[in-house]
Amino acid sequence: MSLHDLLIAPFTYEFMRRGLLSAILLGVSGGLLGCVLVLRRLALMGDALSHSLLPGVAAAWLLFGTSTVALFFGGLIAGLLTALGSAMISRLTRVKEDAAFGSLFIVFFGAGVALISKLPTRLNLADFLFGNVLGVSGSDLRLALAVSGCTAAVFIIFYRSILLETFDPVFHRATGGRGGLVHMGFLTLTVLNLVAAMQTMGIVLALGLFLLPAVSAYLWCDRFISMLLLSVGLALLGSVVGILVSFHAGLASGAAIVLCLGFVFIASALFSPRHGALGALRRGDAR
Amino acid sequence: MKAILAPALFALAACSAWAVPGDAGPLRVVTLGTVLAEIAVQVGGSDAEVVNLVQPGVDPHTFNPSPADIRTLVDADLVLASGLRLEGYLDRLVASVGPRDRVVAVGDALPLVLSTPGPGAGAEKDPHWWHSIDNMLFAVDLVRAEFARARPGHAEVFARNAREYRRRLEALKAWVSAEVAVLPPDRRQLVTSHDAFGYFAHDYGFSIHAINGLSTESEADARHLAGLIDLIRRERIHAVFAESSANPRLVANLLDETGVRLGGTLYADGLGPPGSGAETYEAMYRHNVLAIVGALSGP
Repeated sequence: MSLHDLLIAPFTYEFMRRGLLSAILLGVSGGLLGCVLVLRRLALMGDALSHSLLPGVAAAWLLFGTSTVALFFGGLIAGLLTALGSAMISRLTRVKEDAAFGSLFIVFFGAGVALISKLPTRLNLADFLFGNVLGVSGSDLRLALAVSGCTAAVFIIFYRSILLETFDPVFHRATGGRGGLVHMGFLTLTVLNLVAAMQTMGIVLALGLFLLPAVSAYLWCDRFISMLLLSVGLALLGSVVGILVSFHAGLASGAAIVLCLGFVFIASALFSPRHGALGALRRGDAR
Repeated sequence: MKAILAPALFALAACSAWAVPGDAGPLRVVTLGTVLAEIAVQVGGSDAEVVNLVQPGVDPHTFNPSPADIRTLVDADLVLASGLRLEGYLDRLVASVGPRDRVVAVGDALPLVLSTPGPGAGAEKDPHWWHSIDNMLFAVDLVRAEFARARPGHAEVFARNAREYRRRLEALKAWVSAEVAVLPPDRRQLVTSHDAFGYFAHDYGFSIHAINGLSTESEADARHLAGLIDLIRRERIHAVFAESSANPRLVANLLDETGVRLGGTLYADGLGPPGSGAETYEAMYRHNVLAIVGALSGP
């Protein structure tokens, strides 16, 4: 197999170009967003959010069919309800936010499974749990472009607030920053990106595109800006390699991308000279 | 998740009592598909009560009976299934709703059963047997025999009904042959969502190029779709067909990419809902043949 067959030939097909483009767009915004999720210890909350989209998407599919706009708003509403609902519960009752989130998302996920099993739809559950890059439509792509542009714009415009809120929230609030707003903003952005990534990656695996590049970058970088850049770079690399692997090996696209990024993460966790496991063992400073 | 739930439901059903079939009253038949329901209604006439569990539009490959469905199944005198592993859940069902001879898997007894080399795992039997009218004729006879065995007193009525229905199917068969004869052999190429038209292709000399495999559950991969796109361009295939119970997104992308037109929506896994123009077997078959011949014979 020549280099052309390996790298260029797959992208002579429109559907492959669309899949790649959508993965690249979401890699940029996911790479940025993932850094904040990792540093603010919101990684598991992102996972919970991704599961809570299910009932919204299922209900939208039932009412409006496969329209991208309907699926988008269905998922968005379900995700925001989970985020807002758990914020309310944690502020108004003695239940802490993690428990509130953990309880609500599983209720939402259960409602989604119930909807899907009850309705005589043609909804293929596997397709939107794990994604199908072959089915990316033009409107999916425009959605990914809008969400990715939005996320990048927010990071550029509010860079200082994000930096402060991430590393020193107490100082940020003391100087007049509104922490609660920034927090909700992050959750909203996460939901937006998850919904946009659904078709290519599937809701369960989409978070991998956000978190894995960010944790890998965290193992190499000490400055926020270099972590952001490396994270985006890794997300792009993982998307391209993952999509090529999925084409040549006949694997599901979302899984292939996540596995490529997972390989980078495990290698980083082992071999990063300053923050990796092997370095720590050699220095004898394992915690 | 469904797979975990189902055995529990079946176990539940097995505990409840079920009636012993007698020769009194109408024959209670439960069918697991629209085509089977039509056969049962046509053969049974007013001497059978037919309840169909898998409604039009529901994917029969992935249907999952609810507790209420299981109750209906337990109360039935006879259960008609397609067989040939169309209903992936059938073995568990048989194990729970009672003696094996109450459940008749029609496809398992047919003279013509096609096999397709499955992806990786050797030959797989094609469960879409009703797309061969000869198989339909055989199935009608099989159902008549089963009905007569369950209600010997009504055997003559069933035989008369079956004869009448078979006569109509023979007429349909003659009509289809005449329609398809218009297409030159090199035009007989069928690109569809999933591999459901093997029997039609076998009877009328088509070759099938499907995006997915025999079940709507099998996943297409990117390389396969790329190969299909190449084939459509190379062979100058005129049209691609969508299916009533499959994800339309992949077909939409295929049309985008190759610029060929959508030949229409075919009924692959059963009959259409009321008002669709494909709510009987004959209407469904005519719809499919007209769509295929119309789209492929164009300039």
